[in-house]
Parts: sequence; C-alpha cells; structure tokens
Amino acid sequence: MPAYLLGTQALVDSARNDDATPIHQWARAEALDEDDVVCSVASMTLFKHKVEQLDAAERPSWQRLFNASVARFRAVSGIRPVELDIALRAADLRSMALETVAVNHAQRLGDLGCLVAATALEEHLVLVDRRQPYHRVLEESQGLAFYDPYQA
Amino acid sequence: MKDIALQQLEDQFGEPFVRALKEAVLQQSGEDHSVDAWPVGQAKDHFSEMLDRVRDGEGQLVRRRAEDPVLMISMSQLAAFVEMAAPKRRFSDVIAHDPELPIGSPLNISDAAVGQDNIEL
Repeated sequence: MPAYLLGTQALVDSARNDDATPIHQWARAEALDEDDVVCSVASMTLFKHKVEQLDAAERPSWQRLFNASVARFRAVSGIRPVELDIALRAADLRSMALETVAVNHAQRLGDLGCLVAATALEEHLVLVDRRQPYHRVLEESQGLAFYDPYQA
Repeated sequence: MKDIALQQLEDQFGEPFVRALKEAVLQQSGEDHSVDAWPVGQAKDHFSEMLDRVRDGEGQLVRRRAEDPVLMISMSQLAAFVEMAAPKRRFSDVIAHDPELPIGSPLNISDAAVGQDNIEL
C-alpha cells in the first residue's frame, strides 16, 4: 500500500537526474520501498505541459527525463488515476479558492492542483511537496497529511 | 522490447521471478519435465516470444515454438508473478541517477490556475 503522494514539484524534482535534490535525499533517508510512493496522473499533465513550454535548448533533455519518469512510475504502478471520489473532492477544493504562489505572488490553485490534493485526501496519502499556502489550509480544514522535504 | 534474453529477464526482475515464471508456464503446459531440464536456449525462445506479445499489448498468448499448442497466460497472472517473485526495490533506487539520462536543470512548476473551465447555469 502506498503511503506518500508526490506533489507536482516533488515529482518534477524526482525526475531530475541528480541524487542531491531534496526528494532524492528524503527517499534515501526514509528507505522507502518502490511501492510506497505514487503520484497523480494530474501531476503528469502539469509536468508534460511545462516541458512543452520550455525553450528549444532545454526541452530535449527534459523530454527525456519526463519520459523516463513516466516509465519509472508506470513500472511500479505508481500513477494514481482520477476516480469519481477524487473528482468530486476536487470540486469541493475548487470552491475553497485555495492559494498557491506563482512567480512570487499568490494565485488561485488550478483545477489540476485540486485534483492532486484531492487524490491525497481521498486515498489517505501523505502529500509530499514544497509547501504552499493552501497546504496549511487543507491541513487545518480537511485533515491533509503533508510533508515538505524542502524545509527538512 | 524485442529479443529479450532470459538473462535480461533475470537482470530486470531477478532470478526468483524467472524461476516462478518458468514453473508457471510449465504448470500450464502440463509437462512434467523439470525446470532444470529445460534447455536455456529453448526457454529463451519461449519467454522472448511471450514477452514480445505481452509488451505489445496483445498480451495473453504464449506460443511454444517447439510444439504447436498455444498456452494461455493472463496479464494479471504475469503481474502476480512479478509481484510475488521480483525483489522489491527502494524508491531511491527507482529515481537514482541514470548515466544514460541528462542531468536536468532545476525546473520550477506552478499549480496555479491559468484559466478555469466554468459552466453557465
């Protein structure tokens, strides 16, 4: 049974070919098994979109890293789909107008971000990601279990 | 994946997985000779064709090349063998440095809304 859901930034950092990222360090320190950690299919959407937005110099490298990340998580059945309960929970979160930080100013959490958070809540997984303002709101109001390895 | 060798299977999934797979295929084939008696080259042919088919998504046929009958093995059975027999890895090994991949510069991603779908009622 998985215990942790990587948030989208954590997923992206796990895909970096660099054992020194906070995600790699956390994974080593906790000695997690391969099936302890999953990610949301919605994070894959955000990840792929970001790669496609990169300039021509950076895109090929990140395209390979994205493909490798998809293959790795698929190989361990680590990509969680959006089931009905998750979709309905995301609708509740959307109504809360949750805040995240983008380019140094607060913005509303997007629908895909709501789906990621809803996946953690509905599947009772610890969401692992860089802390954003909405994580505290969800911890206090929804009982979200959250861990930020970037501040550890 | 084409022409995967038995050794590659062992490298990927571990020796217990290959042994379990051999036993399962033998059991389904109804043959009574031992695994040890199965020539490696012959086994390689069997498994390579089976995995080709599984990985291509057709998924459920195992053709014995030495004999004509077709064996059936389901994807769920294959997955169960992997689950049962493959040694569990650490997540840190799953995401560990791969010398064949680029490093990847830091990439900040935003989950902020860039536009919301809305329904007019």
